[in-house]
Amino acid sequence: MKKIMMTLFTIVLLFVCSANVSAMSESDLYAKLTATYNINGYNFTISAGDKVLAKKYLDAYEVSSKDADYIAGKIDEAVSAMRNSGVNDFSDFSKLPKSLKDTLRKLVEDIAANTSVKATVKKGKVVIFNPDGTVFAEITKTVKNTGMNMSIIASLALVVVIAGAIILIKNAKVNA
Amino acid sequence: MHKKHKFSKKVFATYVAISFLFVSVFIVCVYFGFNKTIKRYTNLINTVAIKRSEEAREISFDKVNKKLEVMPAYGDKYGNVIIDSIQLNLPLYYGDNEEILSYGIGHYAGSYFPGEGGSIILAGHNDPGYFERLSEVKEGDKITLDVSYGKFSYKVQSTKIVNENDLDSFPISEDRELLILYTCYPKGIGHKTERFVVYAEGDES
Repeated sequence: MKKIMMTLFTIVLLFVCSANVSAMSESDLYAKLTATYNINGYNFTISAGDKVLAKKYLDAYEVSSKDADYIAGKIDEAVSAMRNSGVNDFSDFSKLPKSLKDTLRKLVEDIAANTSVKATVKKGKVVIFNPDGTVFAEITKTVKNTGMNMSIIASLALVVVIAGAIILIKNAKVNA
Repeated sequence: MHKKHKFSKKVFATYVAISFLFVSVFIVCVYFGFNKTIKRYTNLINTVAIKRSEEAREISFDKVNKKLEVMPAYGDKYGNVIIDSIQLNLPLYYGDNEEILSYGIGHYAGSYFPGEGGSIILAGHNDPGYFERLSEVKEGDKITLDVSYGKFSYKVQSTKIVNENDLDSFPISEDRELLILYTCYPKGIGHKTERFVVYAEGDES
């Protein structure tokens, strides 16, 4: 009986040790995050800019192997959801089915809720936070819209519209 | 007896149409007639509004490993972009969301920092006081990034007009310090699908 218990104990010990060995390191996580996945014939990988951001984050902050494991699991779930959606073009995320976008958003929220890596998805924009709660970076498209600064024009338009509305109301009162 | 006039839908629609016309004409006249004055006041407002950003955290640069040990915070001003050939000297911010681009030149966070040896991507509006005159930059012109941890000089290699979706024109390399500046092209109100891009590399001279 004692021998059986010792054997069981050894098996458990070995299992625990092997689990520790297979725990994901930051570099493993980076490799998984930046890998190319074949999804329904489409070779999907995050953009070169997002890879730089991931590296910057991992260089700046330590992610525990427990958190790295959790995030790796969520990456697998994301890939699986993308495959199951039947979509075969991921070049424009805004055109993905709402159900898939919701699933991916939920995965990001799960990571934020259960690990030290904090992020939010709002209006299609992913924001990564520093541990102190300030913004680390926004994950956006590489090339931005750099047309005329519409905020100046919008402010002026607002002023004129308000002025117009006041005139309209005054006229309405006079005519009443 | 005083007669009451009903404020009919037709009259209301006419008022709205006339207002809209006036608004449009007013905006165009004000913007193009007083853009320098507007810019001056906008800068003044921005200077007050982004006071936190002006008090940027101290950045440390490891010259041996060519790597920033402490990065600027997202939205912080950490230097200036200087192009003497077009009399340009503008504040440089880390990050390039809409808000940041209204302050000055934005540094795409998915690119490298000056001195790190990788691609650096900078964006600016094509308004006066931003990258309005970027299309006047010529091959051989000098660009200086005067950042809080040093001065980095680049020489313009080429310029071109590209489609906004042509990501190959915005390469992110980790082993070639390529400075990429861009703005919408051509100038004007509305969404532009093209970008004027300037490529510059480290100036050894």
